[in-house]
Amino acid sequence: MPEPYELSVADAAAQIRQGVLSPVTLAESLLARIDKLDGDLQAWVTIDRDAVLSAARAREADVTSGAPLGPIHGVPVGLKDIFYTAGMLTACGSKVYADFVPDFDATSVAKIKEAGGIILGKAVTTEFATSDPSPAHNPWNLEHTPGGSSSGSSAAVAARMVPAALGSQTGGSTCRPAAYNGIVGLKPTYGRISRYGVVPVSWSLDHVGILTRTVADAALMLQVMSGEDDNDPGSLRQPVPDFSAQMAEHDRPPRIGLVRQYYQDYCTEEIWAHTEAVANQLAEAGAEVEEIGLPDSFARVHSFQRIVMNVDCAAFHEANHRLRAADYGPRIRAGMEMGMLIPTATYLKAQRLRRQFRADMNEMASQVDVVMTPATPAPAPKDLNTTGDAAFQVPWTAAGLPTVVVPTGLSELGMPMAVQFGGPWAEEGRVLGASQWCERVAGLDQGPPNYP
Amino acid sequence: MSQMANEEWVYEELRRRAVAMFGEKRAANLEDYLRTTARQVVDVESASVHRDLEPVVQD
Repeated sequence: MPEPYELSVADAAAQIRQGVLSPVTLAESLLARIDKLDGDLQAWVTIDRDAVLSAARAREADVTSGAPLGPIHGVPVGLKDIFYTAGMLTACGSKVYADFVPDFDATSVAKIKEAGGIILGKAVTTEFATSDPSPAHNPWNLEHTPGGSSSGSSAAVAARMVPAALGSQTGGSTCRPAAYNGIVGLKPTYGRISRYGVVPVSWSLDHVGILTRTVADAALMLQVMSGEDDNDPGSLRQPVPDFSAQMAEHDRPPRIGLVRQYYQDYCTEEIWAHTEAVANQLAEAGAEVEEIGLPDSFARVHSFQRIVMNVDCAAFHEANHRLRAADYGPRIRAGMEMGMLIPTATYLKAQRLRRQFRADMNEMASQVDVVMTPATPAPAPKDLNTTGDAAFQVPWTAAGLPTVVVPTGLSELGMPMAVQFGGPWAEEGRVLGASQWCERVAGLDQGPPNYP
Repeated sequence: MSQMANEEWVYEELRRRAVAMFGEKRAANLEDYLRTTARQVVDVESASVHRDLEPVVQD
């Protein structure tokens, strides 16, 4: 019988619905786990224990009274500390926002609560979700970065301090730390989950991301939070599909397009050998694996993504930069200062190139069920002064296409390795279904050995 | 060739703006970032796009 803190979102929700598990017991188990581990991992920045336990008692009362229960009723969820939480500090890992207490919940947070979820607390983020490292550590080895910018969210899920957490992705901030920490990361289609009430890096590129330990949990959280939001101008204007039905349809040996171009050259030999080994394992289990080429427009993606990100970031922070530039970390400050220097016409050309790129990537991804790449160029670096390399996520973020990272093995140093699956615009169900099949065939079924 | 496709020219132009906005000392501290940004600007400016292609901002 697993400890409550070990349960997935789906299993915990099912046990609560059946009356087998009390939401209070689950919350207490997770809080005790945090007490035990967070001195080492530093994954959390704000936890309101009284509020957590009060919410858990209310959810328990719903169960005993026979009230209607939401799909994640009684299950605690962590939030990267850039998500607005009414009455709760949202400091963004920053001196500039050190005292910021929003007076409303982000749309995604409100949807979690509507679905019966409990906000366990705010997880450590790099400063304003950019690249100055956070204090969080990787539970697989404390000397290695957990990645960023969703550092605390990823470390907390990997160390079983919470079954699911929200992150964000402007470059590679959900799927990269997911890979570094040996968990599942989902970056949906741009606009699928509202970004209203999420402190932005770049309005053009920001996505809400999901961190869990199973693909099924990522799908469940996606279902809970998806939907059009008039408060988010980038919101996807489409009805929300039944992702679990779509997953079931695609949970079979997929036709996989393996990208060798660029990715093989850019990653370590160990990562590429692992990626090929996973591809072979999937092929032996019935998948059709073929090589697929990248569009010509891929060549400039890192340039136009960075220009868009820096200019958008500068626009958001310009007023605070004028008053207190020295309160920003060195990397975010330099990035926004570059954004202030870039000519407007260059910014708009970058956005025009991005439109072409998005169409080209969508066409490529539509040729197969899923596109497969390594998730990162290397396992999590043994260096706490970096958050790692987002190069393998940036193209997918710039294109706004959905991706899922699935952990698939361990490096020679015992750090997680993972593969990334991408799909066409608004086809999360397809990507999740294929990822679930691949998770069953080749997934890493192991947590950090030092934090069992 | 457009000046915007000349990396050294773009770098000098970015540096001139940095000095004007942030001062000589800060501009000197940003040297590596200015070089990288100049490369990115040239990369973008040297690409061709269809004349009817509008920018994507949020959609």
